[in-house]
Amino acid sequence: MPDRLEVMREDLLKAGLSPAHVHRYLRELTEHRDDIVAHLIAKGAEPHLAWAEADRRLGSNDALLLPMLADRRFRSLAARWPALFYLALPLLCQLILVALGSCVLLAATETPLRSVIIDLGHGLKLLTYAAPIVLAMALFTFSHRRRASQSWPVAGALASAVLAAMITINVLPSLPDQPGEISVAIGFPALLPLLVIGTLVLLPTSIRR
Amino acid sequence: MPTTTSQFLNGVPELLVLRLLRDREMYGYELVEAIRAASNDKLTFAEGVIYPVLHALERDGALSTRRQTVNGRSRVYYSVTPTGKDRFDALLAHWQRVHSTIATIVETPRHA
Repeated sequence: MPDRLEVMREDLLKAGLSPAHVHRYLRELTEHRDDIVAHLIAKGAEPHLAWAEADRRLGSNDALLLPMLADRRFRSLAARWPALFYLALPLLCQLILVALGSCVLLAATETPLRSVIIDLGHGLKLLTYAAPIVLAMALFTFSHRRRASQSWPVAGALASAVLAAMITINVLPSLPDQPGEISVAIGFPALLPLLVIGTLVLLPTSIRR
Repeated sequence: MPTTTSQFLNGVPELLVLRLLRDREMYGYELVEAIRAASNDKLTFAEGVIYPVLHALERDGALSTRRQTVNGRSRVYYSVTPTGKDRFDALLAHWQRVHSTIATIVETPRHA
């Protein structure tokens, strides 16, 4: 039979507590129960009676769960603001990635890397396409650890895929008679990248099922 | 500020915890034993519920924690912060007000 404290882990996670907080709470309860048992055995109690008494003294499952579930402050940020965490944050990460990548491209034009600036541009474009896939894997792993609903992570992964397909990065090398150009634009999503990235970001959910 | 009826007994567990931790840092089991000893075993409760109280106080900045491994077990020791001392003073004043009010009512009941 599984330990009742381990059974409580699922309830606490599903209620939106962070895995680290749940781990700490259950560890403290386990240590506390072990201390009671050690104390009772030292006083001459039979081990099985000491365990039963320790479980009784620790409190019922309801008594141990309710104070944790009732206090909203114990809920993790992801549980309190899922839209912000699973949707807005990945999109922001992608935009920051593109902004940083563009800065790196601009900086590279002043260095010997200028000769491979087109390759660097392709690299940034590839990174932009790969980002939603990595983010989606992180979101699904994160939400699975927290026993959270999959709807927000799916929305976040799809939104990331759409944003990646909307971003276009163009790098034109400078010619003798014309200056080079680095342009980043957000427009209507390109269909093929959207389909490919959209499929790839949702792959982890189908594998899990 | 007048106290509403729904919350007039709130803060009692926090008061006990802060009072005992004011003297020295303790881990959960030690603290429960201290409450039992200080109350001559008159206060009994589900011992595990001490942890949500401790976690809430820590979150409010009233307690600080440090981990220490003792005999192979990782203990979380709790101690009172300056914020916790202020909170204890406020809770004590509140409790004394509630206590004296109830004592007055019990000793000289006034009927409408």
